[in-house]
Amino acid sequence: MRARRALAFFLIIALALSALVAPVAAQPAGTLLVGLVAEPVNLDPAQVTDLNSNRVGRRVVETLVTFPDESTQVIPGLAESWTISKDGLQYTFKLRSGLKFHDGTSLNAEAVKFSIERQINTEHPAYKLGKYPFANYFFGNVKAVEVLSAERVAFLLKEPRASFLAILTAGAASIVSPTAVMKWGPDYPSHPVGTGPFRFASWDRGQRVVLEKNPAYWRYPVKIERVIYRPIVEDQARLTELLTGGLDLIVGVPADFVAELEKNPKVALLKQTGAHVWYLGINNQKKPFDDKRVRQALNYAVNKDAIVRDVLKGTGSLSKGPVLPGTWGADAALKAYPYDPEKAKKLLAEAGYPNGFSTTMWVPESGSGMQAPVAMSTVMQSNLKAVGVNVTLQTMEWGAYLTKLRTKEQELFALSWMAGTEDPDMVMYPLLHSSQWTPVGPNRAQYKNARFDELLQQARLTTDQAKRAALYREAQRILVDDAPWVFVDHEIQIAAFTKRVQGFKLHPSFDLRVETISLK
Amino acid sequence: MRSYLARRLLLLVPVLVGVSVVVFLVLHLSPGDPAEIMLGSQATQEDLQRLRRELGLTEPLHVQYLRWVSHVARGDLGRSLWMKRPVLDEVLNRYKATLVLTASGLLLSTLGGIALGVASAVRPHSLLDRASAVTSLFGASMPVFWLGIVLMVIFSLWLGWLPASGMWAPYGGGDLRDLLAHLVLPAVTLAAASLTIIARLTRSTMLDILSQDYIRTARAKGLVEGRVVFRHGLKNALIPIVTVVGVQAGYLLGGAVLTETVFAWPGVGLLMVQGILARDFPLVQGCVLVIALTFVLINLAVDLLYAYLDPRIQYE
Amino acid sequence: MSRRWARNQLALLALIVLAGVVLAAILAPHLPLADPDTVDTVNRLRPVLSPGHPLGTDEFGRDLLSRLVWGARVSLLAGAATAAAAMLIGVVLGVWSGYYSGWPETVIMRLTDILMAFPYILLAIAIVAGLGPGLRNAMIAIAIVGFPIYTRLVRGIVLSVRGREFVEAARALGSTDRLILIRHIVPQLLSPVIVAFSLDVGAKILATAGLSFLGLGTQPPTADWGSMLATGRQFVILSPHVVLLPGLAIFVIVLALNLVGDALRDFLDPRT
Repeated sequence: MRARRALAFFLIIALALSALVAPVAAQPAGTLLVGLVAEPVNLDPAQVTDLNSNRVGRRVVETLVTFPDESTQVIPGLAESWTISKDGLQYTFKLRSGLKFHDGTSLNAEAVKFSIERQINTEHPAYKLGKYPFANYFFGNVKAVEVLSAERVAFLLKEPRASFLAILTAGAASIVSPTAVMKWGPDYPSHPVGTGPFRFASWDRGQRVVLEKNPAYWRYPVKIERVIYRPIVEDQARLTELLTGGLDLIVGVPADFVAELEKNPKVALLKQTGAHVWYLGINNQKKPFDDKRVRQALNYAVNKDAIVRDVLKGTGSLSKGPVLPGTWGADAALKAYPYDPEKAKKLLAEAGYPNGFSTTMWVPESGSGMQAPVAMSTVMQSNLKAVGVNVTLQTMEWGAYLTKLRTKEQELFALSWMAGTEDPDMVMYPLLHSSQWTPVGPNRAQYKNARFDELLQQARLTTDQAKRAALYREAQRILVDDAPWVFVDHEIQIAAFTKRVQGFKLHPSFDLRVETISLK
Repeated sequence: MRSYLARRLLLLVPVLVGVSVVVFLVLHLSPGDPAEIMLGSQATQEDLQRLRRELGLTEPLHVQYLRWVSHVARGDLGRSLWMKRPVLDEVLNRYKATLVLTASGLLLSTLGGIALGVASAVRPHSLLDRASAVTSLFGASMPVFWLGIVLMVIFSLWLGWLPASGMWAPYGGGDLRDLLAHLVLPAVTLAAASLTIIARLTRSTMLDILSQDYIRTARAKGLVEGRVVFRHGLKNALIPIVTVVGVQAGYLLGGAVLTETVFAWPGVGLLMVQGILARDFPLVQGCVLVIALTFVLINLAVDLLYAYLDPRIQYE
Repeated sequence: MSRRWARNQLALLALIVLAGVVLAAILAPHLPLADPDTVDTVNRLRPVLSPGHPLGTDEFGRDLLSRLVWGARVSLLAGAATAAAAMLIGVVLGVWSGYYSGWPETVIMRLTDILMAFPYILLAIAIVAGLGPGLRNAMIAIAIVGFPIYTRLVRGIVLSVRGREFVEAARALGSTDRLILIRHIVPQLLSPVIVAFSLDVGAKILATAGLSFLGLGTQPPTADWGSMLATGRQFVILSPHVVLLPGLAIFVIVLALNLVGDALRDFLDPRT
């Protein structure tokens, strides 16, 4: 009697629940669903420091110069041409005519001046309306921005720096509608207005950001009506959504899923090496790492192939140095350190450590561009143990990690760098020039080499790419010999998308350019 | 009783102040600098100093705290360092989502737990008892995120019955059916461990009570078994059960973080963790304050419930 | 009668299993196990019953059987120690605040309120960030935030017992508070506290998993069941044994503890 009642009870519940069965509804035509790794912070690229926010925000605003598909060479963007003065101190741009912002106001030199000066000029009316964390990093060298005419604007620099054009491709250099900024005030980052292929439509916090097509986009007609970005932190959830139709496109596929996805007929994969480098930093000023032989030994001891093959499952390409291979600044003739534990032990013995030594390795649990930091470091720890170097791993949370790295107490530390562009100055100078030692700058390895410094400085002064390339090649050779780091890999971005997505291409700057997509 | 209630409500203030001080100290004294985190590994010293100044982080701690408190008194929780949006808006927005999830989880685990516990106590060591013990123990030995992922894989990926994540469908949807469909997996995940504790405790308390003399008397008097169990048995067992439910409510509220992370549920737990990792002080302080207020009110409700359930309990 | 015997047999079995696991954990260094920390990326994710690895390997090629046994040391100790600490503090405070009304009760309960309102994740991050990473520091946070459940549970029971007739009678007869507490009140607590504790040990082990999931907790290459669950969760579809095995281990311990706890309850309370 009781059992029957219980059974009836359960049946009723099951029936009720089945009413909830809700397979994903059919998608409205022309809507692209993109999965993000985290919720965007805000949509004004000048006020943003993380990749996720940039990936959304940069669909709404554009820069004076930009990158073409799949490359990081500089080409015209909102500016159709430019001239650089002989002394390298003035860059004059001619803007395209007749372009309008999404709110109907015109794109002109005033808008360019506004967009940049609001970040660096403390007297500017929009300065207090936001926080511009990278203003100094990008525009510290800009003395002033001058309006020469409605369509001509000039940047006056304090010092010549050949990488300035590359800097103007950054998100922080995007041109925003001054009207919109003044209208929204401190809330502007939640209502961005620019000239880009998409217009901002709505943002449901924690759930989705919706962008709509800009029908008046100047470069080419945009073929999708709407993009909906969904932040989904958990890898498994993002993947499940892709496979059940809840998402059309995801970037940053975890390495272990790649093999599975390659076999799945519902999904296509794209791979591309990004302007990024992952390295094991060594404190060059601390014993025993001040001895070049010890650093070289570490390079021989770490099995980078194993890391790339087994941990990263092919989502990284071996690195021989900080510059992205295949770009104009790279040295194709560089030799990588082979995996040679015997040689490592020999070098250690020569340096006076026949029985190895003990040291600590600091590793962040996560972080932008860090790939699989703990897994990779665990392998390195094991490699080093095999040659007698006993490593104690200390993992810490990203925030605490960055603070600790300023104390200069680090011995070995795992870190990465996203350059955003292929200009070698943007990666070698901040990370390895002796003027950038931490805590002043990001040279946490405390590396110093006078000749290296000199080469980098010279390369800044000329805009002749061939000359710069030669200088950078010599600089890279010095790096290989000095071995200030153990260079491990350059991240290979992997995107997974459903068959209805056509025309998508990855970009080495890690930007997510959905404007080229059309839906089947 | 009324004076007790008044006193408890007054005590809300020092408790909240206490929580806010502890949160403030814990956040500011932990290593990790919000400016540094915002700038990432690209930061230069100069950029950092400037940003810190702008964010108001260079002033002495007590000044920062007092400034924050004076704003809170006026209902202004400040602006998030990370997102630049008003904290109050952000928190309230997400809080609704967390409440929906937590309430559902609590309902499931309480009703399910009590039902299971009573059924087990009435027939101790029967098949039902054994089976429910083992299955509910499953729930207690699996971490929330694990169970969530497993359920997601089974019901979303393999069977395609339910959506994998989120609170609403990205387009269309928006009605109750949409919400319920999205709610099932996370609520069940959240409720699993709680259900066990409530079930086990109910069972053991009921066993104690059902063996007491007055129960035998009631049976001897010829009362229907159901009446005996529920009217005389369960009512008296409710005190420890209510306590545990109260604690579970708190746990679910705070522990919803993991579930929210797995299912991309736009709740306040996820917001808070991300705020903690970014050292977004105003945001975290705001989240904690709101959560703390809820906890304290739940505890108050539980205490009042004691007095209602057992007239022998006196509050002075 | 036979039911009682069967019940006791089950409890005995549980006790044996528990003792076995504890023994294995203690003897781990002397058992013929592979090194739990050796990374062998060529052999990653080998399934159960592979040559040389009876329970397979994890994502680094480390032997799972060995990691489970070594992990038992860490997890059991951590789980039991924190649960015990939380229980002791919690019960004492609960009795105190339940029996004596007035300001001790107010202070203790408000303190408990503050602690319960405080998200343990925040506390864990702060402690871990401040004291340094590692399981030990993470467990301090978990223990601190873990005692309120006992306090509130115990207080509720004490409140209701304190008002009962036999307590009043005892007091009328001149019994001291301490005697009343020990003879009349504490026995009422045993049952629920034992049940709570037996579930709590498992919960504490899982708390470490939660912290590892968020990126705090044991340092590589240390093995502990919680972090094995957290880091292995990506392989739920690909190589489920990596997560299933530590999950099973925790389940077995939780089940065993519960059975033993039930038996203990029966033993202490002769009426059932």
